Amino acid sequence: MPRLADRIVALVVLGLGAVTAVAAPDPASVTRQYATLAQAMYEDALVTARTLRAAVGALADDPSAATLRAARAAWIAARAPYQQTEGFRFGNPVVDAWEGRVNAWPLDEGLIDYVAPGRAGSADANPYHVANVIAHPTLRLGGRTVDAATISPALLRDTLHELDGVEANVATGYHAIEFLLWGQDLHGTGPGAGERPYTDFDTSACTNGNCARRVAYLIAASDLLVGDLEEMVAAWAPGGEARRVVVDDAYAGVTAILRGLGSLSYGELAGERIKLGLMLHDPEEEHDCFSDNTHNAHYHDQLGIVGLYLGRYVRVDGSLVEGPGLSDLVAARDPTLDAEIRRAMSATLDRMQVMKGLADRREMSYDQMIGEGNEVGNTVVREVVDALVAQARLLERAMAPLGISSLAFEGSDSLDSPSAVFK
Amino acid sequence: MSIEGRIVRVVAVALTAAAATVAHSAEPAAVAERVRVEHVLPGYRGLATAVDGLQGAITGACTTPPGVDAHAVRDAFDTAMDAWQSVQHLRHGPVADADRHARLQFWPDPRGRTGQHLSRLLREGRAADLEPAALRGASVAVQGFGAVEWLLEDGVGLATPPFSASAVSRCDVAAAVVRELATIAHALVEGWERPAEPGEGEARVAALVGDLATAFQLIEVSKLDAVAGAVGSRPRPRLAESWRSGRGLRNVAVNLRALRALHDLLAASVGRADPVVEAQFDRAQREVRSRGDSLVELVGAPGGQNRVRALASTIADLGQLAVTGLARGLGTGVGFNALDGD
Repeated sequence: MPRLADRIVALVVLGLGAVTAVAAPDPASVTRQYATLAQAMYEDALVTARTLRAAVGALADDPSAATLRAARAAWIAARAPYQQTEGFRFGNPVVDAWEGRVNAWPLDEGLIDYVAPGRAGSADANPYHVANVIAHPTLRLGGRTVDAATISPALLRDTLHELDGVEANVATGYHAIEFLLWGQDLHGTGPGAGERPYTDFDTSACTNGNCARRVAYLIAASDLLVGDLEEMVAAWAPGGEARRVVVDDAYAGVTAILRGLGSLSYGELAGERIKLGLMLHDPEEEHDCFSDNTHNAHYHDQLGIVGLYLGRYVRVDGSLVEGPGLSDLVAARDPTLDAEIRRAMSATLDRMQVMKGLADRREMSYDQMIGEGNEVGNTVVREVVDALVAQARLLERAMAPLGISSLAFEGSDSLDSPSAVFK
Repeated sequence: MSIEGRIVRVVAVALTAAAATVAHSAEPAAVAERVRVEHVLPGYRGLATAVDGLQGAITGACTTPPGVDAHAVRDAFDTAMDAWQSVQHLRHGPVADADRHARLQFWPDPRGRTGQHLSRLLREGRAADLEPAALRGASVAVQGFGAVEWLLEDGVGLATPPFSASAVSRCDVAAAVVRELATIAHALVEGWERPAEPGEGEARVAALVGDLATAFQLIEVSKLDAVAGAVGSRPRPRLAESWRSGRGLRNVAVNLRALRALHDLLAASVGRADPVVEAQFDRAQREVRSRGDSLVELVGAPGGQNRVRALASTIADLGQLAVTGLARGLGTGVGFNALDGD
């Protein structure tokens, strides 16, 4: 299990809590290593996405329970490296502008395919929440007629994605593919994920109609994912735009690293993806809601945060990419703070592991954990939120030793950012 | 998803350099105490009184023939909502415990969870689900002012008979939700009656400045810009706060009054009444007042999107001026959010 290896490496390194000032690495070497990590991580995301594309092709050629199972397994495998890259998103405009194409969430999946009655998402704000392009070769969109006879990457990307400026109109990326492979999870906060039958892709014994169009959609979305990841690998390769931004100006690069880690920890992960769903007890707020893979999504986010802080990444093939990290810069100026950050990150990973363990052992899936009245599950998830917030606060304190005078972390309406006033 | 498109609170962080330069003009503990007595406590007392009034009005409307007290309920709702909008900016202290802020009002709600979750409660809920402990542990979308508004204003009416003989009625749900609002409001009053412990002053002042900054950002980003929609796109009236009751701009007007009161108290404590900030408050308040109560109407009118954007930018400028001035004047070492309070 490569994931276990990741964890051991992370813990071993985080556990080296010796509080001694060390020679400061050159900030430029830290941002170069950051770009090297990005390239390696996106390359792994790309390699596993190509495997997914091949598995989707096999499903299309020969729909069966086995080929659907293999495609689902390939999707889950592809998520592991991708989620580890999420620490790049908020600090780097090149990534942030691109991210919506590959990982937009949550989605009104009724735009894409059939959904259960009454389970169609945000009807209030989205007139296209049940447009169902797979069932409709022509669509009426805002007073005009769109020819959707051919389901092509261009139709998905240029016409349907973020249709009408509504972010819930997600037509591309991991979650669109996830919906096609699993279907809606109609188990609420009970056990069970989506249960789409393989015959939904079987043009000779088609269930739920429009199987050829469904297959075409799945292939188009998978092709787009591969193409988008190729673009991001190139952006971080030598000469690429994303690399250039952080390497040319080391101060901007260091700020980007810190901002990315803090924003992912705080507003995005602790707030929008976890706390909000916990307060609503709503499985629709689960990040990988069709596949019930959310425990892994969150865990790999944190694993990526740890790796980016330390400057190391365990590749899908098990090899290690290693170099100077933000941790070294902080340690050279404030070794106590660096030790505190590493301890906090380790504590978050531990709490994530408790959450992941419950799901991996099939004792409780993530949507069950956030269910109303599930005290054990709620507590496990709440502790993850608290750990992420604590980690973000410490990262914020790294501004001063890093010489960063002003920085904004992404926030969330779900976090009241309480201070310690009344403790 | 672009950064601009995301409806989130962007939390800005300490301007370390700015903070270190100015001497303290007043003891932080004295500043915090003055704000507690003159701003926070009266605000929460007003909320508790107004929510008690709403509770009475709903009981009245639910025990008299349908329709009789509709106006009385709406008036009581407006009074209570005004009282809430006067303290909505306070996010530290007892309101941060047990998700109380979100349980008083769950918003923004871009995915329409309020309607979805309340509909489910009305379909499947039983009396036991409305007991205090059960309701406290339920989805925040069926609690608080957003839920009350939906029950009053979704077009069906409070007096509609229940879904089935064993299901809860709208009146039952409204009464239970308002009962919990009252419990929280009274607990907040109680929680703030205790003066700060010695040594808490600095952290409290920092938290107040952080809350002020967050409130300005919430108005700019979530209450206004999100509703105006992206440039070149249609407006988003359903993202407006209180769109069902048509009081999105009234909320902002009330917010500005409260934020100005808090700002002026903090500024006076350090002898820094800044005429530029005061003029900008005047301008923003005048601009809001001139647009009426309903943001949905404003944004839907010709040129409305630009008017809403202009208002957002006036308030963003105001927030920037007000918060930077305070952070400098108070020398708290804190810039823009309660996150760095410890």
